[in-house]
Amino acid sequence: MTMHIKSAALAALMLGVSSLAVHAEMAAPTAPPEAPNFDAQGEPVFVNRSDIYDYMALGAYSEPAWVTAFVDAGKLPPVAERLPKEPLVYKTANMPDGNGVYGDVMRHVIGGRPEGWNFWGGKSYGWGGIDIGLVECLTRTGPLFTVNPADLQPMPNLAKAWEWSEDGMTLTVHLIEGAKWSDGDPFDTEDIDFYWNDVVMDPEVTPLMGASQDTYGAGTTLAIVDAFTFTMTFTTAFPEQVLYAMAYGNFCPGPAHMLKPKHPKYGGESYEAFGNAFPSDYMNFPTMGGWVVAEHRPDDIVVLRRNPYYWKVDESGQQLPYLDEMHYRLSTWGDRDIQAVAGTGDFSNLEQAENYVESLKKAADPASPAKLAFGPRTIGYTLLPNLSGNGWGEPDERGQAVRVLNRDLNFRLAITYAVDRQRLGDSLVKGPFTAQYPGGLYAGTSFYDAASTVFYPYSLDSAKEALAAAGLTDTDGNGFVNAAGGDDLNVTLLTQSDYATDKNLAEGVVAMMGEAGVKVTLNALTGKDFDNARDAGKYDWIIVRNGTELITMVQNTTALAPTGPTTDVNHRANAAGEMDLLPYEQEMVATVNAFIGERDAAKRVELAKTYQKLYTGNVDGIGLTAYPGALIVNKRFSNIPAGAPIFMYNWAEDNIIRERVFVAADKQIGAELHPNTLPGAPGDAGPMSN
Amino acid sequence: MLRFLMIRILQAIPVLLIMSVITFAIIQAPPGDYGDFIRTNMIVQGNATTEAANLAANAYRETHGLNDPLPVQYANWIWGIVSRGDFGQSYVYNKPVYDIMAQRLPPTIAIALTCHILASLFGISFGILAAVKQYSWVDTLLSIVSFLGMTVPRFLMALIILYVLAYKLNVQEIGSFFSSKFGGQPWWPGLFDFNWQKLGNLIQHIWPVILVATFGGLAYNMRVMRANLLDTLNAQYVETARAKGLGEGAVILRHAVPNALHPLIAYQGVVLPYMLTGEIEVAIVFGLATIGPAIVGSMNIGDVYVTATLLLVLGATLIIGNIIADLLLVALDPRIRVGGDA
Repeated sequence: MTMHIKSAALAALMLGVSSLAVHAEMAAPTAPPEAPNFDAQGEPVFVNRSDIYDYMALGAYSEPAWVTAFVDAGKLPPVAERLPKEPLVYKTANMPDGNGVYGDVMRHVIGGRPEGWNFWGGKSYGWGGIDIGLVECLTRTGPLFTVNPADLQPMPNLAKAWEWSEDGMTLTVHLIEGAKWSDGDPFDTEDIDFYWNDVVMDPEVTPLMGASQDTYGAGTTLAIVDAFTFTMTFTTAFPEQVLYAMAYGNFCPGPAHMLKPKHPKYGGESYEAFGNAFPSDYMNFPTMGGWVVAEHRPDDIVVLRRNPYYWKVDESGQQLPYLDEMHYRLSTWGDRDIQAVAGTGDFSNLEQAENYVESLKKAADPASPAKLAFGPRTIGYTLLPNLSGNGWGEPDERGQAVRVLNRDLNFRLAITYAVDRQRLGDSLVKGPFTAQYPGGLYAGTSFYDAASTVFYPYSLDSAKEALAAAGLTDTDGNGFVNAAGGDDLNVTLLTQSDYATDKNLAEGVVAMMGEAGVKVTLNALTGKDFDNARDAGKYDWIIVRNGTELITMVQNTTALAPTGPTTDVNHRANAAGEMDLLPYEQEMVATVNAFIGERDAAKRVELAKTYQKLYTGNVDGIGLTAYPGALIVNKRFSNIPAGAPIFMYNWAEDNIIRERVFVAADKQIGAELHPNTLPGAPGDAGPMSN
Repeated sequence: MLRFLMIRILQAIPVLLIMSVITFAIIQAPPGDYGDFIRTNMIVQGNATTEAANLAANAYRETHGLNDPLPVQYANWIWGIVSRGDFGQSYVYNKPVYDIMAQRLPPTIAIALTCHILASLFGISFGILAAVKQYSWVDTLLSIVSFLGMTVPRFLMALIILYVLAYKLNVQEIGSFFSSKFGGQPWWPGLFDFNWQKLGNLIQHIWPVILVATFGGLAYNMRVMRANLLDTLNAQYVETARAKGLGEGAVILRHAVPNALHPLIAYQGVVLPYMLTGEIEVAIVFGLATIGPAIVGSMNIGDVYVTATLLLVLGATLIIGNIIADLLLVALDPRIRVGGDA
């Protein structure tokens, strides 16, 4: 409902919005509308990190009976000797279905293909969670979606504990002691030393996620203290973000005893040979993960078998994982949803809203093999105006004129008033799925504060008023406002054409802008062309699917504002490296930098509120819609946590903690391809039998 | 004949070279390269920062020659093929393109040949039947089949069958050659022990592909056979055979059909690439690991040497098919010679 100037001024005052944002005749900003609830949307059970797992020695340990047979045959040390002194112990109380039983398989379907197993030499495992199952990192973020905001910090993992020096310049990290790689070699600081000095610091090596010294802070150094302790020294005090950078897929050390001999520094043939040292047909490459690659049939399947040295247990002492085997069917990404819904696959992340109703209908059938669990609404889209008036992307005269308009708050207000978010959401999927998204941090996430969020409601009249305030009127009476030269103002909207969601939203925006009198021309490009145009600044407006920084605020934090020449999507430096930040952007940058350097949780919350006010009040981006992703999991699996998002701090494959997922004995389907086998020696053709 | 064959092979070399240049230029024409694919995956799948992903993509471009000028890239590729049979490296599989080809070409050709044989058998049989029963309901029915086979695009047929199988009949054996259980099993577990179960599983998976690809080829064979046989049945020697008192079956099968087959035999060489493209279209829809999906997939992500090599191989099969057709024609008709030698 439209209110007028008095209530608008009041609301603006309450929200701390600049008076520029409120004009006579324009609808006043309101609190963002509440998103509807629906049954299929799960709510996480919030706990502290230590409620999920801890490190402790237990009285006794056990393993599957068929693994004990390997021990009895002298092929494997006893389980207690394979485990660390104090293994990571999952708390039964935090398991949705309690301690599990051994056996069965989780069948994934993916569209990627493994390039090789040298993650540290830049080789992709084919994505879809293969690497998450094989590579363990110092800290872990996936399960944080279920952690109380007051206790929000990365979870320990291979790094069992850490402490800051008094001045905050040094971080001492303690590794889990006595853990072993899947071939029995000890995990210790030799692996850390190799990762840091011969991967991160070696300019000739690019690990898979591109981790470099800068990932951990410019000028950061690392020193080994003893076999299980090392220190990191920073150039700024308390850079807490580094703890997040230690999670997937950065500080995930590789097996130095395998990698070192292949590295040129230690006699390896060349850097190229180092990268290709463990090709995709190399089996049983040592891991710290729950499983090990035991079979790879190109374009068919990758089979992982349980790691007998895995260093995590449940409270009853059962060595994890419960699942003996993991399958990755090498198909297409599109096939993943189909197979998961049909029951031939077990797991998928459904994120195309257009498919929700049909998939829910199928899942509602009692005979359906899969269930759909929706998480928080963290899939969101934003329309970003190009705010670089400095020549980034080399705009022509028309493009530069649009950028000048983009930098005018009145023009951005006109855009946001013209967007009917309810209609836009309904165009994707009818029902309770989509929420009216004002932009900025998502509702339902840790740092979101509704009172700090400015929502400009849909109002065509207000949009037209704002256009007039920006000096744009329809001088020739053809329904579109005219630019300074007399021609119709024509704005290009860059969008991704690979996904129906992006295209539908873009088409909706074009239509709505037309209703407000702004002529918008769609520029729909496929994947890499879209990326190139985006990163080169070749657009007036762009529709993007938001990144993780607007979900968690603690990951990729620098991207929240133009904190550097290339950190922001829609405002970057020109060829000369010059930025031309607007006053509110300078405030945003200061706020983000303060957030990065702040350790006090309460102060961080306040800074997040300030950020949200600046973002939404100044319409830094025009939020379009937000909706939840749906996790499709076969019904036979237990211990799937409620409300697990398909992506928040990490992908669902990490969020659901697969090592503690199990299948009840009467529901197991007997689909293991290599039953009763364990990974063989590194380089052996396949798994070993007893 | 040998001279004829040699001339045709020599003629094929410049054709293949020109084709390789055009193909390479076309697939490299769109902006972007495999470095972009790496960057996108690192950001979207690995949650890497844009800066880290850009640096990694640039490093990959530098080490893999993606920044080299196009002529240099082409020259490296073609020289590798000519000098050492190296078709380049697949970026996404991180293995030689030859390995991809060796893995995907045999099943592609096997499916295409199976479809070809079935299309010939059924097409010729239906053609005979339609000709013998001219203007009867059988002829009408088969004409409709032929009409549909010639006009309905194979990819559309494949999509319809895929939809019915996956969504209506809940058939799960699609999208691969084997179920996971059978894929890793040997064909011959013992010396005299053939794995029939694996064969059965293979058939369960690929019958829709064979059905659709066969349907298209069948229609052409049937139409040609029907028309030829109708002409032949009116020939004088057929009348003579009947006048000799031979049964109608013997007249048709011994005298008319062999003569009506000539044009179809000449067609066999040309049909090879036709059947290959048919298989490719259908395999793309069904996602089978054959040549077709590899071409489309590699084009999407800029795995250029895979695309270029596979297109080159397809071009070579087209040329080989044409040479086979010419040879068959020469064998059938000695008046045909190269370049006016006749």
